[in-house]
This record gives sequence, structure tokens and C-alpha cells, in this order.
Amino acid sequence: MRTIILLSFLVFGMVAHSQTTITGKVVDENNVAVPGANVVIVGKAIGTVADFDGNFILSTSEVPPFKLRISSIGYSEVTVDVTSNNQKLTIKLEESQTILDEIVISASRTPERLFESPVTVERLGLKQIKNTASADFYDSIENLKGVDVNTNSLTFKSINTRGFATFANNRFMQLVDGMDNATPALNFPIGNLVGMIETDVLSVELLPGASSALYGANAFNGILFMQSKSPFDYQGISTHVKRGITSQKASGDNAYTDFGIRAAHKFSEKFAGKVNFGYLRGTDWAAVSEVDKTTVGGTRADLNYDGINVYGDEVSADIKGVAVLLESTINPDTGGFILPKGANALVPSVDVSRTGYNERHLTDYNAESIKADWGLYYRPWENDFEISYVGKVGTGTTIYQGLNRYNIENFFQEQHKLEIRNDNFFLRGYLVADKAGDSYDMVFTGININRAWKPDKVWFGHYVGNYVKATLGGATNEQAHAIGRAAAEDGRFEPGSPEFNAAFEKSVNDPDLSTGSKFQDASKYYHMDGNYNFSHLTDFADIQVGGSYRQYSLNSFGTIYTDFDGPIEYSEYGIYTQIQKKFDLNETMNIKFTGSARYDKSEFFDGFLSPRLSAGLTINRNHNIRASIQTGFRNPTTQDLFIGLDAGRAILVGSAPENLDRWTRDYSVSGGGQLAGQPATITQTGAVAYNNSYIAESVLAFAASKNPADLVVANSKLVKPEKVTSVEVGYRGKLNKLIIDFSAYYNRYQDFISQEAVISPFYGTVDGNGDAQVDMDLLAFSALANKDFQTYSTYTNSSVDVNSYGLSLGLSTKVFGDFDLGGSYTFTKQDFDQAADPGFQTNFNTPEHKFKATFGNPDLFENFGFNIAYRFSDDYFWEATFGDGVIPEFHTVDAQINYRIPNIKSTFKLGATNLLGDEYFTAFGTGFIGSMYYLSWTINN
Amino acid sequence: MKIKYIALLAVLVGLTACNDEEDFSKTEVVVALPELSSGSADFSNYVALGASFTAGYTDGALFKASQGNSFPQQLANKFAGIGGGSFTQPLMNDNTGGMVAGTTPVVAYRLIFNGTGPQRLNEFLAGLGAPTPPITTDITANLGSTFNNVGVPGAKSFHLLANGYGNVAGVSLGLANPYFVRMASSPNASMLEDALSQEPTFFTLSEIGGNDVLSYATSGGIGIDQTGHFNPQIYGKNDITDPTVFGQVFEGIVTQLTSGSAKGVIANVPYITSLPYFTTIPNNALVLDAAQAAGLTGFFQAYAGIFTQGLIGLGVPPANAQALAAQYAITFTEGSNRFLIDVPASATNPQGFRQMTENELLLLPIDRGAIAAQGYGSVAISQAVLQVLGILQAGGTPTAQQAGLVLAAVNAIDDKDALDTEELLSIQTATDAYNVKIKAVADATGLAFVDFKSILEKASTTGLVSGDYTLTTNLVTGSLVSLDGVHLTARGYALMANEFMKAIDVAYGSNFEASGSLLDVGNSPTNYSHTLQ
Repeated sequence: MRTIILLSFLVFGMVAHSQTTITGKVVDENNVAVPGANVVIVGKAIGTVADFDGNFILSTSEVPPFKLRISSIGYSEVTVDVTSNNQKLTIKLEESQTILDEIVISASRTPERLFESPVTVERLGLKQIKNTASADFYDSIENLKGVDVNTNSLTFKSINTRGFATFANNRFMQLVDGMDNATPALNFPIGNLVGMIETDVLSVELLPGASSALYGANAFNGILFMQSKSPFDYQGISTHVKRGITSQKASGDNAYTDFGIRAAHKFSEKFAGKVNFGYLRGTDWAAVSEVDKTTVGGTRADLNYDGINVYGDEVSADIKGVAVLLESTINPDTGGFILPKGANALVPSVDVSRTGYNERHLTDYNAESIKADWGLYYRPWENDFEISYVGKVGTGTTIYQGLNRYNIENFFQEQHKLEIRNDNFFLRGYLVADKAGDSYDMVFTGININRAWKPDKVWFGHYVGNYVKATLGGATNEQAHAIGRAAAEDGRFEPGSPEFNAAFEKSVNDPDLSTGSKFQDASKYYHMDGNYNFSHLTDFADIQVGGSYRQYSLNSFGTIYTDFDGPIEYSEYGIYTQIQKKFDLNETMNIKFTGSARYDKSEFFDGFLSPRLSAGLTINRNHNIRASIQTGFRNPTTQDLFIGLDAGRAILVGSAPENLDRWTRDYSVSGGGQLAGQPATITQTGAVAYNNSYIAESVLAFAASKNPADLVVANSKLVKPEKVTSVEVGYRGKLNKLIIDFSAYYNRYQDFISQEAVISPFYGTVDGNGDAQVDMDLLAFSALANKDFQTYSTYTNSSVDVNSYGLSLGLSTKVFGDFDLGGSYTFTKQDFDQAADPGFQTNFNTPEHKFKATFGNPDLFENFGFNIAYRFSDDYFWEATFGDGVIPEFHTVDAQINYRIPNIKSTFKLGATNLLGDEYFTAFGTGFIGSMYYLSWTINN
Repeated sequence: MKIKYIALLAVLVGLTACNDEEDFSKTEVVVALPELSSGSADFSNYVALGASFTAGYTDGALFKASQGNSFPQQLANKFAGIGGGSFTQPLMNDNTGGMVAGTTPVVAYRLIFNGTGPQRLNEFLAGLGAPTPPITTDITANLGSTFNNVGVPGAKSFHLLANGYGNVAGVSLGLANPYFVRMASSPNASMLEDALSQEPTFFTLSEIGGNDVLSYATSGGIGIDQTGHFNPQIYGKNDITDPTVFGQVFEGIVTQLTSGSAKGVIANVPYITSLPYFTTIPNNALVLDAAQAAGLTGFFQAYAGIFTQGLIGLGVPPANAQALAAQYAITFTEGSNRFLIDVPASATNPQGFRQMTENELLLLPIDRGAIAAQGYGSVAISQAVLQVLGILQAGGTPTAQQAGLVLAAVNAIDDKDALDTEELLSIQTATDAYNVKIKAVADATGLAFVDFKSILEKASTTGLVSGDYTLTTNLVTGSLVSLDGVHLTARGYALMANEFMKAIDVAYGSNFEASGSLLDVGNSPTNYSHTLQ
């Protein structure tokens, strides 16, 4: 029976049957009428507007009890309970309530006025989400001050603050209802792919900077909190549908659909449930750059071309070395050697790359995200004590750029959480598990389609054989290269041909990177955390304690991690406490001290204590000055520890001691090396990167100068946790209608974890006596000269401190009456002595200057609003494993107009992002970001 | 309040161009190279005086395309940018490489690479059944002019001063040079006169002295080392020129060339015996299996025995006979063995042959077919010889006639196909003496100097690095030396031009190297196609 009632509610919920009538008057603190206030039933799009004298009458089908939210520009919002029909209300609004008066919980793990939070915190509430000009709420985070959004693809955006991030942003944490949604395989969150749907979002809070003292290791650069609406507070059905197009020069205009529905119901005061479903489909930003990655100004005509979004051309060889090998390779057709002895003198020592395939031939650029979640909430005593179960699943197709560019297809992630909580404590445990689905590495797909057609050896053999033949026939160098390549390319699989398609299918279903490109994973982690707030028990101070435990189970079947023989498991835990004390200095001034400390211990590393101390001085409720000092730390990630992956350009070997020898590989020795008496094959384990290696850049210098003094010993140290000490000061204030939010920080990173490109020779010793000076070992030098070496990417800590500092200033106010104008400026700079640690990349990846502004009016006239958002990013240099390059400055404008039709509880929004149409990008190697034009219809939100 | 958002706007405007992309780009800024300058050299009238290298001789011939890649031409192309005038060469009529006098062939077709080795173009084309292009360069058609390139293939040092070296009548007598005949300003003119008549402001004087030892070497040392004989008039064409004669001639040439205050470059003479003409055929290519080695060793034991008996028969005391014959009991081992060569018969080596020593050389034109099939370099064993060996094996005594068969079966390599230790020493001694003189002249005059001796030494040992290439002295594949085994490829001549430019930089303060103006040797081919006509 209940089900039927619920169903009929779902179906007819939108039709208004007036049953309840409420009358009221809205006044200010001095009992003067406030005209034009909005009166809305909480959780519904039902409401009315007060008249000039502050009076309103609301007729609704809702049956009391329910809540009314009354708001008016320039006043803080008030919620009142309606308990009976025909109730008469007098609502008193307080003036000048602003965003600073909003309640945040992330900064101290306890609700507090944003104004008084001890550290910088940004918040997106329902109002901001409704009025954003961005395509969805997650994108709108980009408009918060100090936030960088690195756009991987249409559906995978990576949020960061204060620099030092790539797409693999494992320094930044993302919590959805307290649950970390980092993907187990990758150890970082993949945007909102497995996140929330817009109509379920209650609030988004963002803490820039380290929060390790409360949130542990990963909350190092910052943390993003997303909170959903409780079905006890927000019931009914709400939905949104958004349709439009994405427009990009490379991929044209493509349809875009984003649909979401939320259904929540409170069955009784004890029990409530909700279900969310979201579906998004579009076409990704195509990445079509043919700029040469390795040679400045290089073009496709170059011998050793390696295009950014051209794959397969990463495979290259020194053709003189090939010629040497051909001199001792038997030609099966003739029985003689392929090249006569000494013929390598005819061949220049230059690198030649195979011909690659454009990325657009290796992916269909589908962008898809399907997610669902459900929750059951039980309050046995009808009070704040709640037991809940939440499940979340997400699947989708997107593009991720890490070491290479990955086509993430039918990726699946699930999360299950059990939680017990009341106002003073919570205890939760959850599981996060992923499956890589049909995902594949596009770079290796290009490489292995080539190999399926013609193995590298054969291809280079044809090239060099024909180069020599042409030379002996009278060709110049340039002509001989052209003839060599033409001969080697004979019979190439053209994109779209049946052979190409077959090789493509074979590659993307084969997880062995020497022949295929399938990305396999079924990793997971279990997490538990709990918190108890003693503030209701103690008077002298507010005290909290908490702790967490996490167990990782890495299971990539040997395709990412060295877990070829079964899952790798390890665990870490942390405990923390916080004491908060507020002193009233006088009637208008108070000071609040917060002290927190957290102890974390990973199975592999010594425990680490990270304290935080902060003080906030509030004057007159309108001025708050804060200062804090904290330390943070970050354990090396699962990849830092256990990766074992041949990325083509380099082999990545994680630095857990037991991992080093789990990676092993045979290498062919060059003709030159074999002539000098080396065996044809040499086996290296990952350990060589850490005990017999040069800094890769120094080998380049040596290649040019032939001077051994240019070589630098690498022998990367095994990775250990990185630490940050962060000092921050800030001011928040209200001056008439102007709201100021300013912060400045100085971060000092020690043992900064990053990757180092090193080169290990196949033979010879780099630094036998361990004095950090290059041994004058001619054998090792000859290995370098013969190109008998392998490039590794090691995970290590910089010996040099990395410092960064910055400030951000946000201003917001009302202009021309009721228009909202806001702007922020963020300055970020790193201070790192590259010369002191060559080869070390900090991946700072953030512009020195950012400027953002929004202008809008949610009620320009009745039921009509608009918003414009502008962002400027200065140019900066992007560093990441896929490639490095300059990101030019850009300006971008998003805009929306919206119209509300209250009697069908609907809001229509017409919007555009990147309205100017100037395509830009935020990271090297990705598709350019084009424009989106959309129309959305939101019901009951 | 207005001021505040004006301030906001000001911030916005102020931020739009805070820094330049260049601040972030980590790509190295390309340092602009200095502009090419000639220093104190005056390239307005450049004359190249020399022999075959100067002429652009390659693949055993001189032809239009090879002349286009001669090192003087490549140098002149560079000089053109810094005050160099026009540069003329006595171009051949075609690309056959051959020459005729009227209808009589005087010079053969050029060599081409036929897939396995060098072959004359006409022979190759005939093998394909393709038509052979006719030779159209007639030496009797004098070009009647003077040329900047006075390079005459085959010219020895003293030929540069020889009047009548360009007289067509002298060609058949070996007194004149067909190449010079084509270009001599008059039948009685000398090369130096023709060079001087152009009043060069800059000259290269190259490979003088090379031919003074080369023909001796390429003839297998059948000529005479004329050291001590000061009259070149009596020299045969394969003789080594006396160093004193060379010195006087060389000094004379330089004195005259510089008399008009011209500047120039001179170059020394490499050890020509490290060229592939002399190094391609290994002297130990007598590869034997165990049975063959035992057979040959047995043969020479028999030989020594027969010879001993013969000596004893002539009345030589047995001990002496045995001692003298012992040198012929040569042993062979499985694997590589050195060949036998003929040497002049002497009291200590009455039979006039011996096994080669390590450094002795075989020449490129040696009949490799004979080595493989007829025991050239070892023994030509016939049925009759085997029969005699059988008799000996059985303890019998062969007749004198039969013994003679055995002695005659030795088929050592002829003098013309090899350079023995003594001959090598003659070549080296003469070369060293020439080079001492050349260096002395360079030091005395302040002319730029190129040390080709060290350059070729490097090429023949470690290889010579130029740009992306490492050039070696391997025949065909080394890319430095052309198919004739002596002269350079176009790529080799480019490298040579680079060496000249570097030397000019040193002597005259020009900046060919520093300005990046040296030649990329990869732009010059190593071979000429057989289709080139």
C-alpha cells in the first residue's frame, strides 16, 4: 500500500492541489517590512514572493509539517517550521548575511561559521550551484578562488589548489559524504565520474592547502568535500535534463546530454531512503596536436618525429646501430649477411622513428558517464542517531592522460559504505573497488598496431637496408632516407582498413604491453574511520578524537603494478585529535585557538606526526584575522611503490624495496656493444635504476659533448614520505557591502616526492664506490655511446627543498542594486633550485597569476536571472610524464540565463561555456577545450 | 564603492599580460651563429693546383658529375659567399669517365657498384644487355682556355713544372698527360704556368707528392725507388721520386704561387698504403680446413726434401742443404694462413718465394678467381703433382723430372700483386721525406696546412667522424674512398673540403667552422648510379 502511495506521489507530485495556506509577514531586525522576500518550501520549487509591505500568502498541496525558507537580498536566509494549516508567521530577517556566514564543517570537522574557520575554505552552496554558468556543478568549482582545474577530457577534470599536480593528482583528496572516491588502481580521484549528480548536491566545500592534520596523508594539497542531501530533509523527486552541443575545431559540433534524477522519501521519522541516477553522453575534446614532442619545431617530415597526439612514432632507433646489427644478421633469402661488413659507415648515426597513427584513429572520443547511488537511512530513536548504508556505482568512458593517453572505456567503480553517526560521533567503513573494463593505452595501441604489421626489427631492417642500397646506388643522405622509409612503410595498415581494425582489436584486448595495450585492473581498498566530538561533554574546550585505517589490495594483473603473481596488499592507519577553545576578549572581540595533531603509520614507513596550530581573531562579527601553521606529510602512493610499467619512453619502477627486483626485463645489445664483446642479450631488474644510473639529462649532455665530466650519478634514493610545512595568514571581512577574503601562505616541502628520469647502462658501472662521483668507467661510457641503455623513471625524493608561496584575494559585493559582482586574484609561485637537483621535476603546473570574476543577478526581473563567469590564467610550463610544454595564457567566459516557472516547479537555463570560442588547454597533450552550448530543465530542485 | 570595482577591473586589465611564454619555455634558445667571414684571405680568384683529387677523380675516372663534386668546386661554392669569383673546371663531355683520342680509347669507363663489387660501367651495362653510352670526350679537342681547376690526374710533382706535359703528341710516349692535353693553354705550357697565368689570389696545392709514390705502390713496386737519383727525366712511370727532387720542385711551385702575395693552403701526403686499394684483400685469406692444411704442409715437406736432394746433388754439403731448404718446409694450420709471394731469388732464398709477413699487402686488382681456383698464392696442385707426392709418401724416389713438377707447382703471388716489406719501407721513407719538406715550407711561408697524413691514419683506424657519419677506408662500404680504392667519393671530397676550410680558419682568421659553414657530408653521395649518363 505504501508503495502505491509513494508511486502516486512520484507521478502526481508536480500537480498542485492547494490544501494548506500560510500567511506571514517578513520584517527586519527593527520590525520594518522587508519587501519582495522569497518564500520557498524547503526541498521544493514551490513558493511565493512577499509584497511591498512584507506580507505573503502561500497556498500549497504540501501537508504540514514542513519548512519554509525565507530569503531576501541583503539579508541572511531564515528557515521556519510550518506545523499547521492556516498558520500565521512573522519572520525576522537579519541583515547582511553573506557567504561568510554560511556554515562549513570541513575546516575543523565540526560545523562552524565559514567566517571563523581557522583555515582558508571555499564553499559552493545550492544557490551558487543553481546559478553557475558552468555545464554542471563540478565544473563550477573552477570559479572558486585559487582552484586549478586540469582538463583531461570532457568528463574527467582534475581539481587542485596551490600547484604541484598532474592529472594523477594524488596530493588532493575528494570526499563524497565522507567517503574517499579515489580510484584504487590510480590512487587519485577521477573527477566526478563516480561522484554525485547535481540535484543531490547539498554543498561543496574546498580546503586549499594541507589538511593532513585532520584528514591524513592524501589531503596534502587540498581536499574537496561534497555533501549530499539527506532524504530526511529533502524529499521527493527532482530531476534535471541538459541537452546541447560541444563545439571544437578538431571534432566539430557534437550532441551532449546530461540527465539526472533524484528520488528520496522519508517513510517515517525512523526510516528514509533515496536513489540517484545520472547519465551523461557526449563527445570528448579531440586531441589532434601534431607538434613534435621532442624536437623544437619538428614536423612529420622529420626523421625522428614524435608527435604529441601521434602514437607509434615513440619507437625509434639509431640507424647506424641497426646497420651494425644487420652486418651480422643472416638474410633468409640469400643465406648471406643482410649488409656487408663495414656498411654501417654508409649510415649516419641518427635516430629514426617509426610512422605513427593519429590519436583520432585510435579512439572514437565517446564520453559517457553513468552513475547511480542509493542509500538507506535508519534513525531508531528518531533523533540524530543514524545508521546508514550507501552504495555507489559508476561506469563510463573517458580519456585519462597519465604516462600515456588512455582511452578509459567501460570503466567501473563501486563503493559501499556503512555508517553510524550522531551529532557527536561517526564510525564508518567502506570499500572502493574498480574494474578497468575495456580501457586501453592509446600510445601502445599505436605502437602495437605497427608491430602487428611489421615488427620493429623488420621495419628498421627494411629502412636501413634500403638506405644503404640507395646510397650505393648514388643517393644523397636525404634521398636515401626517403627511399628507406618508403620501403619500410610498404604495406602499412592504413587507418580504417580491415587489417588496421583487426590489429587494433587484437591490441586493445591484449594486456601484454609488448604486443598489446589493454589496461587491466581490479584493485580495491577498504577504509574505516571514526570520529568522536567531546564538545557536549567538556566545557573548557572542544575536543575531538578520531582515527582511520586503510588496506590496499592492488590487482592490475601485472599491467601497472608488479602484481603479476597476485594482488599486492598493504595497509596504513592514522589517529588524530583536535582541541578548540574560544575566548571572548570583550563584547565585540573573540579569539579562537585550534590545535590538531595526527599520527600516521604506513606499513612501509616510519610513523609521522603532523600537527596544526591556528588562531582566529574575530572582531565585531565582521572582521576575522587568522593565522595557522601546520605540517603535512604524504606517503608515497601505490604507484610510487609498486609500479612496474614500460611506458615506451621510459620504464617506471616503483621504489618499494621488494618491488625493485620484481621488475625484470631482457634487452638486446647493440651491434657496437656486441662487437666489443658484450652478449646479445642483457637482463636488468628495476634495481639498476636505483643503484647504477645516470641522470638522463646528463647523458644527453654527454652525448653532445663526449665529455664524461658532464655525466651526473643518479642512483635515485628509495622514496620516503614527503613533508610540508605550511604557514598561512588570512583575513575575512565585511566592509559595508564589500566582502573581502584574503589569504597568503608559504609552503616548504621537504623530501618532495617526484619522478626522476635516469639512464642505466647495460654494462659498466656508474658509481661503484658510492661517492656520488661518476666512475671513469670506459665500459659504461661505451654503453652510452652505443645507446645500450634503458631510461627509467624512478620514484624518489628531491634532495633540495621545494618552496612555494602564494596569496589569494577574493572580493564580492553588490552593484547597481542587486547585481552580484565577485572577483578573485591568485598568485602562486614556486621556489626551487633546479640546478641543485637536475632531472628532478616538481610538476608545479600552475600559473603564477589567475584571475576570476563573476557577475550576475539571480532575480534580474521576476523569475529571471543570469550569470557570467570570467577566468584568466597566465601562461605556465606543464611538466608530466606524458610530456612537457608551455600552456599559453587564456581568457574564457561562461554565461547563462535562466527562467523559472514556479507552477511547474521548473527552472530553464540556457548557457554557454567558453563563449568566446577561443580554444585553450590546461595541460600539455590534451585536446583543446572548445565551447559548450546547452539548455537545461531542472524540476523540483 | 565605485572605486572598488574600478580597482577590480584594473586588476583584471593588469593581469592579462603578466609574463611571456618565453619565460616558461624550457627549450634552449638557439644561439645565432656568427656570419661567415673570410678573415685575411682573398678568395676573389681561387686556383686549385694538384692532381687527381683536385680534379675530382673518383671511381677510377673523371666525369662531369664527379668534377661537380671535386673538393675545389665545393670550396669555391663556399668562397662564393665571401668574395669568391667564378670557378671554372675543364669539364668532361659526359659521365662515362672514358676518353678517346679521335676514335682510339685512351681512358676506360668509370667504375660502378654492381651489387657485389666495383665493375666498369661498360661491362656492367653489357651484362645487363643495356646499351653502353659512347665516350664523347676527345683529348684532341683542346678546350682552349684556362681553368681555375688545374688538377691533372696522374701528375707527379715534377710534372707540374714540365713543359710539354700537355702536348698531345707526347701522350702515347708517356711524356704527356691526356687530361692536361685537353686543357693546356698551349702544347708547351706547364701546369704551373697555366695556374700562374691566372694570377691567383688564393690557391690550394694538394696531393703533390702523392703520385710520386702512388704509381710505384699500385704497380706492386715493380718500379724503382729513385731516391738518390736527381734527374727525373730518367724516371720510369712507376718509380719513386727522389725526395730532394720533390723538395726542390715543391718549394719552387710554392715560391712561384706566392710571388704575387697570394695566400693558400698546402697539404701533406698520407700513407697511401692504408687506402683500400692495398687493404681490401687480406694477406691471410688462405683459409684451409684441417685436411687441406695437412696436405699443404705435406707438400712443402716434400718440396723441402726434393730441394735438399737437389742441392746435395749439386754438391752442397747435406747439412747446409738441409738448412737452406728448411725455409721451404712451410707449415699450414687449419683456418687462415698467409699467402706465398714471389721475392727476388737470392743466395739465402734461392727459390725466390716465401710466406707473407703480417704487414705485407696484396693489391686490389689481384686475380681473386686464381686465388680461389688455381692455388694462386699457394700451390697449383695437378694430378701429376699428386702422383709425385704419392711416390714420396710410399718412400719412393721421384725422378728429376717428377721432382721438378713439385718445385714448379708452387704458385706464389707475383711481385705486381703485392707490396713486400722492402717496398713498403721505400714508400714510407719517401712519403715521410716529402712530408718533412711540405711542413717546412708551410712553416716558412705561413700558408695554411692540412695534415692529410693524420686524417687518413684516423680514417683507416678508428674511422673519421663527420656530422652523423663515421667514414672508414673500407672499399665500397667505407664511404670515404671510391670504387677504385684510391680516390675519394664525393662524400670524401666534401670531408676534404671541410679540412681545407678548417685549415684556412686557423691560418687566415676566417670562420667557416664557427659560422656553421662546413659541408654536411651527407649531402654528397658516396656512389654514382650506373644510370647517370
